[in-house]
Parts: sequence; structure tokens; C-alpha cells
Amino acid sequence: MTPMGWRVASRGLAGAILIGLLGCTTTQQTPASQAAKPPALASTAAGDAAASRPVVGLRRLTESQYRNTIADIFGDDIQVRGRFEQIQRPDQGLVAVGASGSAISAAGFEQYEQMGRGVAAQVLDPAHRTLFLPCAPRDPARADADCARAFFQKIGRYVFRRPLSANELTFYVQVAERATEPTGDFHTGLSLGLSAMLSSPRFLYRMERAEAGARELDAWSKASRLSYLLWNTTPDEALLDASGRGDLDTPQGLAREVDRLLASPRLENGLRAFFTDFMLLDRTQSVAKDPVVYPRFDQLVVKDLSEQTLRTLADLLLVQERPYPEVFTAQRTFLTRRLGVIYDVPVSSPTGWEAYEFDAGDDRAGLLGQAGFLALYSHEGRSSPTLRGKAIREVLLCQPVPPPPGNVDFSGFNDSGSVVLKTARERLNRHNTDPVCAGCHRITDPLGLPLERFDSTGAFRNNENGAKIDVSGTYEGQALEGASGMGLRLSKSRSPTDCVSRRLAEYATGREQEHGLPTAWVAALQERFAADGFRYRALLRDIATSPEFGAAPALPGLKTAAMGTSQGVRQ
Amino acid sequence: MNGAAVTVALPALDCFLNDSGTAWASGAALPVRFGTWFWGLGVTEDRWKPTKVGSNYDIGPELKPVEAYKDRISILSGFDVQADGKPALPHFTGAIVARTGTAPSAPTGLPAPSFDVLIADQIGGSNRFRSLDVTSVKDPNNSISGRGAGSLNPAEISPAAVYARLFGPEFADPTKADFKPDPMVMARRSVLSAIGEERKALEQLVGVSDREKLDQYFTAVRQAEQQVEIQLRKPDPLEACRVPGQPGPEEIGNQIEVVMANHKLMVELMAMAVACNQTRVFNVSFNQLQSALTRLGKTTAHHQLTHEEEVDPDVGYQPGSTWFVERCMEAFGQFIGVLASFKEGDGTLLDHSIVLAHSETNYAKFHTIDGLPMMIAGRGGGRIKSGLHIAGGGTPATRVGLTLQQVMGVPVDAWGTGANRTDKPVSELLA
Amino acid sequence: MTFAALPRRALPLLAAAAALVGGVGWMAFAKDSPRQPAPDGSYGFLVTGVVPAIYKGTEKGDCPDGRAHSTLEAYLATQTPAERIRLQKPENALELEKKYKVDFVTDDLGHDICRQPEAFDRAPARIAGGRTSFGMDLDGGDSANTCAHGEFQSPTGETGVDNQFYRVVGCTNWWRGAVGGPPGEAGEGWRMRWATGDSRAVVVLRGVDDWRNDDHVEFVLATSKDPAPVGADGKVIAGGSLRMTDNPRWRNSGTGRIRDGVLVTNPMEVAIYMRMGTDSEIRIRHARFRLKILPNGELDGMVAGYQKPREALAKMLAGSVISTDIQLECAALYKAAHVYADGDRDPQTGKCTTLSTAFEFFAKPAYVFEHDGTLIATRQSRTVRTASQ
Repeated sequence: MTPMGWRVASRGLAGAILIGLLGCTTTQQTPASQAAKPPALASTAAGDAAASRPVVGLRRLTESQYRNTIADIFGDDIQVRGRFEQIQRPDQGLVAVGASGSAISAAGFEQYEQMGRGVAAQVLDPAHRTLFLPCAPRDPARADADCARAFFQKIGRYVFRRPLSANELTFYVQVAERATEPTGDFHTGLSLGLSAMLSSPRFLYRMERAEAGARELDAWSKASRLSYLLWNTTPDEALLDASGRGDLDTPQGLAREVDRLLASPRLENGLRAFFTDFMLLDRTQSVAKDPVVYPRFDQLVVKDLSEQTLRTLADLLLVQERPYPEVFTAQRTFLTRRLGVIYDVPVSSPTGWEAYEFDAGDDRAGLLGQAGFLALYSHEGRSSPTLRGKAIREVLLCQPVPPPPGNVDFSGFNDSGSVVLKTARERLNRHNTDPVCAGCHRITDPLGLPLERFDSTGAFRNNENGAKIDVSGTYEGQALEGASGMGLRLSKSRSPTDCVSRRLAEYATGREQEHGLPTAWVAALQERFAADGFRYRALLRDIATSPEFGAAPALPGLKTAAMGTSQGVRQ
Repeated sequence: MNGAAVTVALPALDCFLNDSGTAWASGAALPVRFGTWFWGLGVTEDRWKPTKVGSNYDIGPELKPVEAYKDRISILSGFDVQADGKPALPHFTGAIVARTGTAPSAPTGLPAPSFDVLIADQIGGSNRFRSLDVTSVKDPNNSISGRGAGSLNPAEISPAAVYARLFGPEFADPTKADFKPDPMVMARRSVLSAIGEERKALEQLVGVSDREKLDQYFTAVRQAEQQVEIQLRKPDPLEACRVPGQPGPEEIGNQIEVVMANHKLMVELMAMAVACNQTRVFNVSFNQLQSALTRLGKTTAHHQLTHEEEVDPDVGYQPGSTWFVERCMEAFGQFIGVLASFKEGDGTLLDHSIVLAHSETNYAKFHTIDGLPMMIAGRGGGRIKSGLHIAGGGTPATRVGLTLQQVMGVPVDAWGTGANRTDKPVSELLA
Repeated sequence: MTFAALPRRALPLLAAAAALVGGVGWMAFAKDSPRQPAPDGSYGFLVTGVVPAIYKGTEKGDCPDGRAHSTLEAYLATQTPAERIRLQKPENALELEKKYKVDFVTDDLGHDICRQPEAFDRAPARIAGGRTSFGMDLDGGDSANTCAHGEFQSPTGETGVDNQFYRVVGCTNWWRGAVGGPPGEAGEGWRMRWATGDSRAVVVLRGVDDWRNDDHVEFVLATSKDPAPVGADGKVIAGGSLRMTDNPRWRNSGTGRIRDGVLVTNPMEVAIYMRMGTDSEIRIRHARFRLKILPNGELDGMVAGYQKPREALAKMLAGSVISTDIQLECAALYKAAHVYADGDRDPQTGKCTTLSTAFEFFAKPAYVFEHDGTLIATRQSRTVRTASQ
């Protein structure tokens, strides 16, 4: 569970692992006087090779990846304090894809540099340094290249997710030396050296590398892909070892590691990260409703929205191992008391989460009945069939809806205070007398109108402005009633399963179909997902063990571009 | 925050200034600052646009909130934005063209650097922060400033965070007499300069698009290094600089009163940062491109209102929407008022600044981007004229960006791409 | 059936559900919890207020003899006219303050006029001599267990209304508030206790077959273990889940019937927790509830019964409240309370020991659980969600 040995050790559990890792224990630090030489250094040959390989992809760490990575390398008592420059989500796509195109602004770097310094200062403070430093400096007021070298060699492998090259090692030893001079403190110098490492593009970006001309990424890059895909964090010790041994370059070795990661409880972290990205769940945190219209919907509710969805998904897909289409029909979910108020159901525990199962036939089944989805795709003061229908199309079905024409005339669309047009359906019908509008609304509204019995906060209602709400709709030519009817139709359709498998492939590779993700591979994944009974773990395994997952993309302009792809010009 | 400390202007300390009060005694001219102020969802044109062109223009109901500063604000009407063969992206194209000169093809990111960044590159190098970006709503992505290539300069949303960033431990108080460079800062400079040295080694290993990202990264490193270098220099004494108190508890949201209160805190901090020479370029986004402002108890937010509210046949406009426009103008007045409250040399901070305010639409109900509403406040230390209504007559809105870049010293003779490209500055503005 | 003998229909596995509390993801899923059936015919409510029912008519009509004295007025009344004039001069303000705020309300042994009203011998306070007040006809004209007392007419015309507590406090500033203004802080103070969750209680109605007319229902009023959920507008919200206390003292049950949508209970003994600065309780003897069942499922009405003088004057006599804060000559009210007591006649002394009184009572639908997490009542007027309707 704990990739970095010292994380266990820091909790006083497994000193033995620490000895194996660092060559000295936390309590028996090697005094400089007794050991003129710091621990023998491993060869940097592997690092030299890795660092010289061309970079074929730069994927910026997301905030959660950064946080998980720091916690796994240094322990979760190391605080990450700062604000992350957000990665822009591409239109109709994943943040994971945006991360592949994401630059760092000056303000963003300022924050990264500050966070890196904060982390490094904690790592080398008197309370923590003995865990991480395999040696003591000869003189704590002066630079000690040998001790610094031993430190960076050990730490660098975790921070850069591969061994350091000789040049890199020397570089960070020198950075620490230069920083020791004005401060007159070895540990401060070392911590600034570490902060340089944490501010380096090699850490902030996952640098995917491939040997010139190779079809595949190198083993270290594959290890990162696997680890961030499945656990949303940095490769653990075993995975780094497997990369070093070349295991990931053989199908058997790769499958062994994939199966190990898939069997771990940490897989839930990976699931959470993917679905947060895929379903835009991070946006629920900024959902706000008018407190006068919806007094029940306060910040306590907001806090629970995405967590409910994630718990439901993790339970359904990983614990119960149910087919993905049941995401739209599952009656079982998890609630807190405050969500219970919105859902109007009893919740016995005064704090925390408990499982709840809706009745068969309850309209509140599956994702479309969850307050997170319903509230996110609504206006602050009322529901929106158009926003909900658009979200189903674009997010869950991967079917982009064209934007409204720039010169659209809204003059026919009365505002919600209308006494004549009581329900959203009536208002939208009026709207759709304009053929220009009707074109798009025909795509979105029939999917959103069945959810109209859930108001802007996701609470149930039968009437709007005193009129009974009509929840009929159509999907793929089939008539349906209500949210549960919509869920049932979605669960029988291939579009949602094709969408999630396509998105997962994009998430895994950081690439979209339009930009280098092989269409044939995605189609094959979609077929095998169906053949496997839509099991999420099987889909992950399929992706992670595919040659396409570890393939090196070709990049125009790179002198040493990979071969064997149709795009890009070899130079 | 300590409002009193911000708004009380002290008389000029003559020893710091030359005889005419336009420059520091050292001979350095009082710096000219540049800022942008964005508001979403435009205006009701005939309630906002003056009928009279030139000076002493008439004030419609939606301009009323800034009337007090009429002689220091120019109104720009009739400057058009072109979608340039790309889809006219509602609530996006207008603002993006005004800032980058290029029509976007997707509603995300910037297609080119925004011109405020280009101005910051020109004038912001000697300040701790090349630019500052804030918004008064809860959305760090509510920014239209950046270098393009998928990154936006994130906007600060919390006054407390802005305060900590500006006036936290790393702030070298120019009002203090003693100065000793901090050894920790010296060490940091060496670290940052070392990071910068890696540029070559890394860039030769990457492809074209990744090289662009690394370029931005190393530009950012260089800026951080400059920030640190400035911390190592004794700061100039600054007349208007007062270190403010820590802002009090804050509330961040979309509700109009909350946004207004937050805006006030933000712009006061920002003006103080400018007065203390921490930055010369600032970007304020009052509300969103597609304003989500709400009024307590009303089920319809600003954006929905603009589309769904009917024009009241009795008065000929949308009463709910115009109310929000007036609040936006009130906020702009608030901002200008704060800048005008800092005395500096022979005038105020406002006199030594140029602030471009603009929206993303003209008439939001129909997403109109012709006649993009813009205003320019301040005189830029005498570089531009003020108090005019300038009618663009359907010429490109990019003329304004071009003019302001030239005024701020960016060596550029034409700006924008495709149909939005122009080489004709707005001559009426030039002093 | 009494409440104590409620069948435990809900499930031992709920304990397992409770164990999920705070469990993070993976491990939490390992255990399962079946869904909780709502017991048929049992409906829960969250009490949102038990507040003194303050009647405020005209000044002349309600208090023909004028207001009851504040401590300042009471003190000045003990002085000669000349001394009164002297003390009220601005330069003597400090002296006056010490006299009426300290000397007048504490005795040599350190007793406080509100904390130990028995220790002070004061004339009974000026009472409410009007004819109208809120309340119910509690004794039905029966004088066997009561003492002679005047009766009121309710503002809606009901006669024979017993409310001797109102008679005692009805003309204090604390009760009536300023002349011409809204009612005094007596009501607001209580309201706040409920709004902030300082005081919390639940109601369970069992055996309801018909919300319009039902000859027999069981009515349970109990203190809640959990605070009431408060919404974004700062008000208590309906539809939450709450657990009933396991302290038998604060679980009260009785029976009643529903007539034309109004629930009326038989007399029952009531004690529920209430926080008045310190832990305290409301006790109402032979309490009758008369609650209208609103279309939105809320209960709105009144509870009337008898309280001992000290209980009735709880707000004034509570530990944290001192006479100087509320300007009440508590001992005078206390004396009046004994004089005008009308209930629970002591057969030995022939004196009555309790005062008739009335409270407004409000409750909103809620889910109610036993203290161990067993669901015992679903909420009234829950919207039924099915896809086919």
C-alpha cells in the first residue's frame, strides 16, 4: 500500500523496510566522523540513459496527482500549502487531455515554487530529516557534496519517477551547495535543492520519453502511465523496480504489474480521479443555489455532492463489480444526513455516510437521480432541461451539442415568472417555435425533460407553479417516462458504454482521438468492454495491457521522432 | 481590510519628487500603470451609449454610476469585433478578440497572448509581480489574460490570499528605512537561476508543441527570479504606499452584494500593490464572461435574465438586466474611485494609470458583438486624453488594443489576425 | 399501546450501518446495510418551537391597572417623593444604579431576587386584569381539583380559557414589550432557543389511518438527541433525520384523536429538555395538545397545561439570568404566582400549587429514529416518487 518505504517507517511500523531502502535506520544515523564516506552510490547508468531519451509527451500533474505524489513520497503529514493553477479543460474533453497541452504561467510557477519550498522545508526539518537523509553532514553549517549526493540519488528516483542521470545528480548537489553558502546551513541548502527538484518540469510534468525511433515509451514512462491511471499517484517502489528490471517491456511482466495494481484498494483513488474528470464532478464544489428559494441547499450539502457520486460508483464498479450500465439504474447509493434532507429519506447516522437503497420503481435511480448531477446542470434558481440534456449528451454520451447561434433571438422566450407558461416544457415549447433554436433543443431537451421532477437542487417535486410536470421524453427513438425511464434507456444503449471506454482511453494516454489516439484501438476497446459484460476493472486491464497504451506518439518537430505512425514528418 | 489606511491620501513628500511633481527626485518618471477591468453581459446600448460624440458627453442611466469621474473616463462605442469566419462563440468571441486580437475557434483558453501580457512584458519587468489578476466571483478561471497555448493567468478569488501574496513576509516595505537583503532570498535566487540554466538541455529533447510549453515555463522561472532580485534591492520610497491591514473574514459567491463587497476589498488591495510598486499591470474581472451574478431571492441570474426577460414595452428595455448593468457600472465607479483616492505626485494614481474596461457583448440578449462596449479611464500620466466619447464607426475593436500597446511602449505597428487585424490606432485618444 | 412497548421493527443490522460512519471508501463498502423500511402509520416531526403564547391587545384592555413594576420602578416606589427626585438627577445616576441594581435585588445573605425569590418578601406584582388571552379551557368548569380563578376568552371566541400564568406575567415589560411595539422578549427568547437548536424535540404520531378523522392515535413528544438541521437561510428545515433521546424522563407519550384535521390529545405529562443558558427542562402537567395538521404536513397549534410557579417563571428564574438583566422584580411575580395558582390543589392545605398556561407549538415533518438508529417514524406528506405516476 505504501510505495515509499519511509512512509511506513514514519508511522513507526516497518523499520526493516527503511533499512533496506536507505541503508541506515532513522535512529542510527551514520555520524560523519565514523563514516567518512556516505553510503555507496548506485550506478547512474540507468538514469543517464533515461534522461537522454527524447521527450514525446509532457503531461502536467493535476492537483490531486501532485498532492497524492507528495504524500506517497514524503508521508501524508507533509502539508502542501498553496493554490494550483488549474489545468484548462478542452472543449468537450478531459482535464487529463488538457494536461497534455498545459503550460505553466508565471503566477502558476510562483505557486509551484512556493509549494515546493514548503514541502522541502518540512522534509528536511529536524522532525523529518532523519527519515530521508541517509547520512549526516560533516559540518551542518557547510555544504557536504557526498551526503547531498546520497540524498538526491535516493529522493530523485521518486521525484522524477526514474533514476537520476550523473549530470542531474551533480546539478542538484551544486544547487544545494550554492544555496548553502548564503544561508550557512547544510539542511537549508539541501531543502532548497529539493525545492528546485520539486519545481522542475521533470516533476511538475510527467515527461514521457521514448528511445529515438522506438515505438514504445520507455519503461519509466510506462510505469508512470500505469500508476497515475490506476492509482492517481506516483509509481511505488515495486513498480519502479519492475521498470528497472525491464518487466514492463514484456507482456507477462506488464500484466503482472497491472494485476497487482488492479487488486489494490488504491484502485479506488484511480476510479475517483477518472470519474471526477469524466463527469466534471469537481465543478459540483462551486454549485450555489439561491438561499431564499432553496434554503435546504447549503454548503454542507455542496460538500457531499461529488462524494456521493464517487462512493456510489466505487461501490458499484469495484466492490459489487456490476456492469457499467447499472450506473444509470442502481438503486443503491450512499447518503449523509444533509443529503437525506434533499433526497427526503431517513438517514440514521448523525455524521458520516451510510448505504441507502431506493425502492424498485422509485424515480430516483442511478446517476441521473443524484443531486450532484441534477444541481450542477441547473440554474441557481431553477432547473434546466436544456443544461441537463446537454450534459447527458456531451458528458455521458460523448455527443457534442452545437453551441447556440451567435445571433439567436430570445425574444420569444418568456422568463420563468410567466403566469401563462408554468412548466419548463411549456416555456421550451414556446422557445422552439423558432426553427433556429429548435434544431439544437431537439437534441438536448428530450433528454432533460424526463428529469424535470427534480428541481434545481435535485429535490423531488410533482408540480411546477401548480401545474403537473410531464416527464415524457425520448432517447434513441424510444419513448420513456421520468428519470428512471431515462436511466433504463441509457442502460440499454451502447452510447454510454462506448463513451466511457473512449474517455478512459483518452484519460490513460492524455490524447484525444483527434490528436493521435488510434481510432481502431478505441473501437476494439469498446467491443471488448461489451464482450466482458461492461466490467470496469476488465476495461482498465484491457487498456493498461494494450500495446497502444505504452506506444510512443510521433511528434512533429522532434528531431528524433518515433517511427511507425502515419502522422508527423520524420526529420 | 483597513479601509482608512487605504483611502487617506497624505500630501506629497516633496523630497521624493522633482520640482514639477511629475517624477521621482532621482529623475525616474512616475511610472505609468496599465490595467483592465472586465464586466460580463454588456449594456443596454441606448441607456449606456452617449448620443453626443467628443467631450462633455451626455450620461445615460447605465452610465450614471460613473458620472462623478466623467472627465477622466472616455466612452468607446461602435468598435466592432469580427468572428472572422469562425463560429461566433456566445460570450466568448467578443472578449477574446478585444484582448488577443484573434477570434477563437473553441470556447476555452486563449488563441494568442492577451495584450495586457505584452504590455506587462514591456513595463512590468522591474516589479515584483509582472501582473496581478483578480476576480470578485468564485472562479479562478475567470480570467482573460495569459500567454495563449492553453494557459490562463489564474485569477485570485480570495482577498486574504491576495493580501498574503502581496504583503506577506516576502514584502519589502518601501516605507521602512532599514534594508538588508535576506540570505534566504539570496539562496532562492541562486536556485531559480539554476533552474533557468536547465532550459537548453531540456528543450533540445522535446518536440515543437512541448517546446512552447517549456518556453512558457522558463519564462515563468525568469519572472520569478526577477521578483526575487527585486526583493534584494532596496525599494524606492513611495509616497502613496501604505501597507494595509489584513483583510477581515471574507465571503465569496455570486450574489451581487457579496461580489460588490469582495470587489471592493480586491481593488483596494490591488491599488495598494500598485501604489507600493509591487506591480504595474493589473487585471480585474468583476463578473464572469457569462455573468452568473444573482440577486437574493430571484430565481433568475443575470445571464438568464438577459435572454429570457422580455423588453418591458412601457419603458423599452429589460428592467432586471439593466439593473445588473448598473451594478457593474457602479463597481467600475468603485474601482476608479479607489485609484483616484491615492494621491501621487501632481495627481492621483488614476492620473498615472490607463485602465481599459470592456465587456464581452454589446446587447447580451442577442449576443451582439458589434459595438463592443469599452471605456478607458485615466490619463496615463498625460499620454492619452480623457473624458471623450469616441465613436468607432464600425472599425475594428482591436484598434483600442493596438493604441494602448503603443501608448504603453510596446513596439508594434499592427495588431490582430485576419479580419481583426488593424494598423490604425484610435488617434482621438492620443495626447 | 404505550410508547415504551413499541415493537422494535427495525433491524439489528442498522447498527452495522451506523458503523459505516466516517468510514472511507473502500473499507466502508465491505459491510452492507439493507434499506430501512418506514414503519406503517408512524409519522415523525421535528419540533420547531414551544413558545409562550403571548396575547397583546390594547394597553388599557389588557392591563387596566398599568404595567407591572420593573426593578427600578419598584425600588423608586419604596422611596419618598423627595428622595425619588434626588435619585433621578443625572449626577446621582451611579448611586441610583447601585441601589436598584444591587441593593434592592440582593439580600444580606447574597440571595438574588430571581434566583432565590422565596428569600424576598415582596408584594404580589401587578397582574393582567383583562378578559382576553390565549389558552384552553383546562378544567372544564370543574372545581374539584382547582382553586377559584377568573377565566379568559380567547381571541377567537372560545370561553372558559384558563391561563393564570398570563394573569401573573401578562403586564410585565418582558411579556408585553414596549407600548405600541411588538410583544416582548419572552417569546423571542424562547423562539431563539429552538431556532439555534439549543432546545430540540421530536414528535411521533403512531397509528394514523386518516389525517382528517381518526379516533385513536398515539402521540409521543421526546427530546431529540441531534440538533435540528438549519438551512442556508438560518431557519430550521424540514425533512431531516433525528434520533430520540434514550432518557426516559424526556420521552412523553399520550393518546388523542384527529377531528377535521385537528389533533387533540388527552391530558398527558410532559417534560422535555430545554437549554436556558444552563441545562433545564420544560414541564407541563396534564398537558393537552391541539394541533392543526397543515397541508404541507406541518403541525401548528398549542399546548396548554399546568406549571409550578418556578417552572413557569423558568426564563426569569433560570440560573444564568439575573434580575439586573431583565429588570424584573421576580419575587413579586413569584408571590403573585402563588396567589393566583389555580391547579393541583393540595388536599392538605387546600392551596393550589400550579398555574394554568399555554404555549404555541410548531413542528415540521421529519424522520425520527430511536436512539440506537432504528427508524421509527417516516415523515408526513412525503412526495411519492415513482416513474409511472
